[in-house]
Amino acid sequence: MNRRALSFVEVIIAMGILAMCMLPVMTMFGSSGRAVLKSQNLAFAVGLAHRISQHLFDAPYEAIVEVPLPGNAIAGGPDDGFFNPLLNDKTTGAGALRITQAQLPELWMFLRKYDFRYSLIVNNVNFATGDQMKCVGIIITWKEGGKDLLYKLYTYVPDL
Amino acid sequence: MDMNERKGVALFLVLGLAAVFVPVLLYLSQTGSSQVRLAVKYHEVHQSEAAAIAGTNSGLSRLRGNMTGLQQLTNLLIGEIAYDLTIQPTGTGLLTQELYHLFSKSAKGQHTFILMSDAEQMYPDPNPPVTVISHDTWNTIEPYDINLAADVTSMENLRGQDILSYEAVKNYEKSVSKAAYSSELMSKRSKLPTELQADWASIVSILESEKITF
Amino acid sequence: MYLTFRRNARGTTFVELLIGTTILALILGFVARWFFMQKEYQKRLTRISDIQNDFRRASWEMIQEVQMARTIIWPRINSDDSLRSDTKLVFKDFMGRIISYYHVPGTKEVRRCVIPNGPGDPVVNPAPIGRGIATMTFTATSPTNRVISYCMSTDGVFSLDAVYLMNAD
Repeated sequence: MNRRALSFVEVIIAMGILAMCMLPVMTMFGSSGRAVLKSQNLAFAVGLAHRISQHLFDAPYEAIVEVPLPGNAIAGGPDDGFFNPLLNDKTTGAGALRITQAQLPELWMFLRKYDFRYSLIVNNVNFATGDQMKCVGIIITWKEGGKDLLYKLYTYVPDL
Repeated sequence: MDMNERKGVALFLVLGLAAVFVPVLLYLSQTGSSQVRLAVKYHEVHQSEAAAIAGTNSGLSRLRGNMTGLQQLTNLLIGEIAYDLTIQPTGTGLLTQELYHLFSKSAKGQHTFILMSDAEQMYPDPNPPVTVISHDTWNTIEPYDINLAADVTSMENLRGQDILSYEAVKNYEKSVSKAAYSSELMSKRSKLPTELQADWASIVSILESEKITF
Repeated sequence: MYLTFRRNARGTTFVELLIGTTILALILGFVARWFFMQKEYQKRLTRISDIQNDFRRASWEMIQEVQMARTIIWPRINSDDSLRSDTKLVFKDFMGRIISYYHVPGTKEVRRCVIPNGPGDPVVNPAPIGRGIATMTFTATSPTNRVISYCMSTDGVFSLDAVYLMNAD
């Protein structure tokens, strides 16, 4: 039998090939990292949609109107009762803080970085004669890694 | 070093590298996917809650539309999520209104959300919409079946216990004067966490003004 | 009788050893650098996810209870109908008890206190309902006192949410 040992150089080359093969496995870090990042923004988007839905239940019925895509930006957006103004630790309206670069810079930067926006799709629903509700689709959009991402939540808002 | 020993050393080196790298890489990749799972679970939790609330609202809408009697409406869709709805008559009120228990349930993934409330449908009128008053909405995440009598009774009992506690509180508020009520609340101030003490007087003032009197 | 073939056996020279070691060092260096870079990246993302987890846990507990509450006592909107924020929330729960969620900045916790609506001493929950929350603000925006918004943040990670009270007394 021609038994031939492995030389040291062969061992080095084998280990080099093994290391090269590990590189695609290591790119799993990148993709799992992106998944985690997406989960960070997904959780945030879920909270935003839930916040809007809760405010809709308290809003005047006629004031619930469509906000078409691409939607309203949350950072620096209009006064809408959902996000702006956001905080006020004073006893008058003069202390109200909006999500702007001047007033809430950290939050503004985060929202602008991913361009978080919200849209509303509003449909009238009749379950029975003489009654109606609005079926509202709340859409949160944001940009991440060059991609446009979206989260949707539906709810019924009754005419009380 | 003879041939076999060299082979062994080489094999040992390669296996050693693999034994070190592979578990570490697998562990680090698991970290990422577990966080995604938690985020998705949070999303499921909110979706099921939103669907159950939508179900409650649709049930009230049906009652306003003059629907009467026992209704078990399963698998109705709001967006991509389904909810089950049960409208169960429980009797007639003093004003001849029809009394109902309204159940709305939604389940997504491992998460279940159920809302139960009272609904009073004012004397059903041939011309809807009928006035419907809903109150005492109560939630649970236990996976009850809203069409199974035993589960419905369990929910009614649990909710009933909480309502009895509320009745006791209401009776207490009715029985004391505003001054005594306010004094009792203010006496707790020193035992409150420091974060609550500063504004406690203002809070008591609101409670006193909204005390139940009848 | 066996014929023994001897290969032209030749040992490893010092130069070969040197070259081999250099190649090995380069490859391992490259792999190690990549490994530790990714480890740092994962560490940062895990920190963000842990914070998000803390937010979710606190959020879900609060939402469940406040959703069934009877009325918000504190904060309430200002007399000029503008919104009002505070680091504590006080409400009457489903059973009529007075409950407060309040933020403790020193320990970055959100804690819960039950204040009996009648005789009895306040009781603080032994465990906080939220940990690792650097700032927490509750905001009243509605004259109906049926919606409470809240905002949490820690190290540049945020959570914006709200709760609508389904019961109204």
